[in-house]
Parts: sequence; C-alpha cells; structure tokens
Amino acid sequence: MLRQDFETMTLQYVDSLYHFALLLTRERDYAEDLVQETYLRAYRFCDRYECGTNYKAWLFTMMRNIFINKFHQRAREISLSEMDEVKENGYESPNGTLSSARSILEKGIFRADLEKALNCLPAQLKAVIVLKDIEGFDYKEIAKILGCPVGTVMSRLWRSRNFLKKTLKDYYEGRSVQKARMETA
Amino acid sequence: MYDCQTLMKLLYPYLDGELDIKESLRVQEHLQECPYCAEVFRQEKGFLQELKTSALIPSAPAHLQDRLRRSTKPLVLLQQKEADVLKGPRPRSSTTLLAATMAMFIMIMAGLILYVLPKQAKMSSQELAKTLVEIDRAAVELHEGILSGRDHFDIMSSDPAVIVGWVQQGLDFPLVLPQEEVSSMHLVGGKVVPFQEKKAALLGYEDKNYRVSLLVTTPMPAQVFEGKETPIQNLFFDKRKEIQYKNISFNLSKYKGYYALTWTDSQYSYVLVSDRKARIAEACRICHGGNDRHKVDGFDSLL
Repeated sequence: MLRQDFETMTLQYVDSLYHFALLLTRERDYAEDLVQETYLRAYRFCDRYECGTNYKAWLFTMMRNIFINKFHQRAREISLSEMDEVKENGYESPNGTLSSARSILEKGIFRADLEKALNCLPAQLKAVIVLKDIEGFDYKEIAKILGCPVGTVMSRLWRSRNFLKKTLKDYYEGRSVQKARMETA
Repeated sequence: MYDCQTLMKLLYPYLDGELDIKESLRVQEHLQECPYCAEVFRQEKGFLQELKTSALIPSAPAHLQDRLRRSTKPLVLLQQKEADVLKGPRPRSSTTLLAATMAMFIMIMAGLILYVLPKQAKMSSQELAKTLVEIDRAAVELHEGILSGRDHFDIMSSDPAVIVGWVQQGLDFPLVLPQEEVSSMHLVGGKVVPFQEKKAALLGYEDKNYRVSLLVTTPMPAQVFEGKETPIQNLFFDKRKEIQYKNISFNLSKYKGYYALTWTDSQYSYVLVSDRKARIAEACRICHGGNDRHKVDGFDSLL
C-alpha cells in the first residue's frame, strides 16, 4: 500500500477502530490513545500489509496486540473483571425479542434496550457480537483478532446471542406487564 | 439430509455465511422439508438483521481524526530526512560554503569563550550546590505537573521514533533514544520544556502503575559534592547523596516526596524523577540494559 493512500484507507475506519478501542479499554482517553498507537504502527508497517486481505481486520488485530503489549495495566484490570462469564444455556428463541423490535414506534426503545443488553455482556462476549454482527468480520478473522480458536468464536457467539435474546425478551415482557398494570389502574 | 438437532448446530454458521456450498445446500434441503426449523431460521435471520441495523457504533470524537493526521507528521519528516541522507550531500553553492565557514568560525570562538570563561568566573561550591538544587526541584515540578494533569505532553506515543521526531523539532541538540525495549518500562510521551535558560526534552516512561520522568538537556554545572550525604539547609531538600559510578558523579536528592537523580556525561545532563529509588534504578535500564558495555549492574545498591 502506498503511504499516500494510507490516510484515506485508514481514516475511513476511525469510528470502528474507536468503538473497538473503547470495548477493549472502556475509557475514552485510553481508547483515543490506543487508536493513535494503532494508527502510527499501521503507518510505520503499512508496507507489510498483504494486498487482497482484509485491511480492517489487519488494523483490528494490530490494535488488540498493542492493547495487550502496551496497555499492560489496563489489560490486566479488564481480564480480571471478566472472570464471571455468561453461563452456557440452551437455545433461546428470538420470538419475544422480535416483538419489541417490530413496531416502528418501539424502534428507539429497542435500540436503547439493545445497548443496555450489550453493556451487560462481559467484554469477551461483547467483542464477538461487535466483530461479527456490527463489523461483519468472518469467523477466521475474528479468531485472529481475538487470538483464540474458531471454535471459541462460535461458542461465544452462541452464548452472547442467546444472552441478548433472553435479556431483550425480559425487557420487553417487563414493559408489557408494566403497561398492562397502568391500563388496569 | 441433516436431522433437526444437527441443523440447530449449524444455525449460526449457516446464517453467518460460514458453510461451504455443499453444506449450505443440505441445510436448505432440510429447511424445505421441516416447517419447525424453517420458522426458527426465519426468526433468527430477522433477529440478526435487527441486531445489525439497531446497534449503534459510537462515533469517534471529532478531534481524533486531526490528532491522527498530526501524529504521522514527525514520521513523515523523519522519512524525508532518511531519504535525504540516502541521497547523499547536495552540491554546495559558494554562498553555502561561506555560511559554513562563518558558522565554523563562530563555533570555534564560542568554544574558546566557553573554555576560558568558566575558569575566570568559577562558581563557588555553594552556588553550584544551589544550581543543582534548582535543577532537581525544577525537574520534580515538571514530573508532578504531568502526573497531576496540570501539564500535558506535546505528543503521546510509545514509539521512540515518533517521540524523537516530534520533540527534536523544538530542541537545539540532537536527541537519541533507545529504539528497542529492554526494560519493562515503555515510553508514554514527550515534550520540549524551557529549563535553566535552556531547552530540555521531558520524557515520560511508564510501567504498570508508576511513572518515571527523564529530563535530557545539554551539560549543566559539574557535580560538586564531596561528602557521602550533604544536608542542604533551607533549600527544601531532606538530604543529598553523591554517588560515584564509572567515573560519573551522580546526585540523588529528595523533594516533595520524589527522588531526583542528576548526572552529566560528556554530551548531556540528565535528571530522572520518580517516587521510589528502586524505580529510578529500574529506569536506568531503559538505556543501559541492552548490551554488556552499557550495563549498570550494581548501581541500584548504591542508591
């Protein structure tokens, strides 16, 4: 890649990079520093990027490596808080979940609920959702970015999607019960 | 054909487009035959679609793009300099030659003045002691300013090339930093600061939860203390300790709870500041931990 193209190529992903940095560090200042570190490293080593491969995935992998190597303290704090992960549960149907999303009027509420539910997920599980469902990486790319086997990515996706469906359903049902009570009153 | 149980295992790989054509066709075959699985897959597809469209990606702050653009400027300058070096010296015009001759003359005169003047107007040891105290105190103030957030680095990076590229623009002496990490400490940032009527580079190093500042400037007055520990009254310091190591005189002092180690070699003067002596010793390894010749074994026991 030519250095002249670097800026245009990289800055188009600045929101995604910032989002992932925020997910890793959980603090805006740290996230900005991490994005800058990644940007500088990518600039220095952009001649090592293999054309034809996913440039965004290359940047994300680089960011995760920098986070582990340079933000020792922060990385340790985050990994310690990830001890209590979401338990493996059976299949959760999205039926009730979709009811809340279906109505246009409830779109804003659904979005807020989704945001809340995502924030309840441990970072490792949230990461796979962000990387797969929001950023659109494939399983192999996610495994490389997170430094884990593809099987782990698949099981985390299963657990995190189930957790989201369950949580969103609870929010929806909770609101329905509240609504019914208010109507009765 | 797959059974329902197998199909549930392939639910997400299928919807995520991770199956090969052969497997995908077998899944589709089952879905055509099984209305229960078809309904589950339809709902899941809707859920994933909803997830994709409803999840919000927080926008990066507006200033971040500018910050990123600015951050590569020192690297661009460095690359230009490297390219110039590779190209070799440019042919000099007669004006350049004249300017070079004049510059050389001025440098010789300046050297003579610097050599003769100190002998004529030698500072008393008390005056030199006071100067050293001021140096340490100023370095501690700078360190504290950064830690407390009163002051900030001009550039934040862990890459020595980036820091040098940026800081060098404001310095009137060449700054060289080790490029390889041999200590657990890493760079966090740097800035140019006015220091004792000169310019100095203030560099921040970090390891886990502590910070060390290194101040580098052109040579300052030689160290003057002869005793092992010399108390200095009314100058805010608890005590000062002189250490002789490899023909260099080091001064360790304490101010506002911070330790400052000051020394001068043939090219530069340095002040290392941290809250613990052990961290000062560890910080020495940033520059002196890489090869045998520059190792500082046993220095920490002298502090």
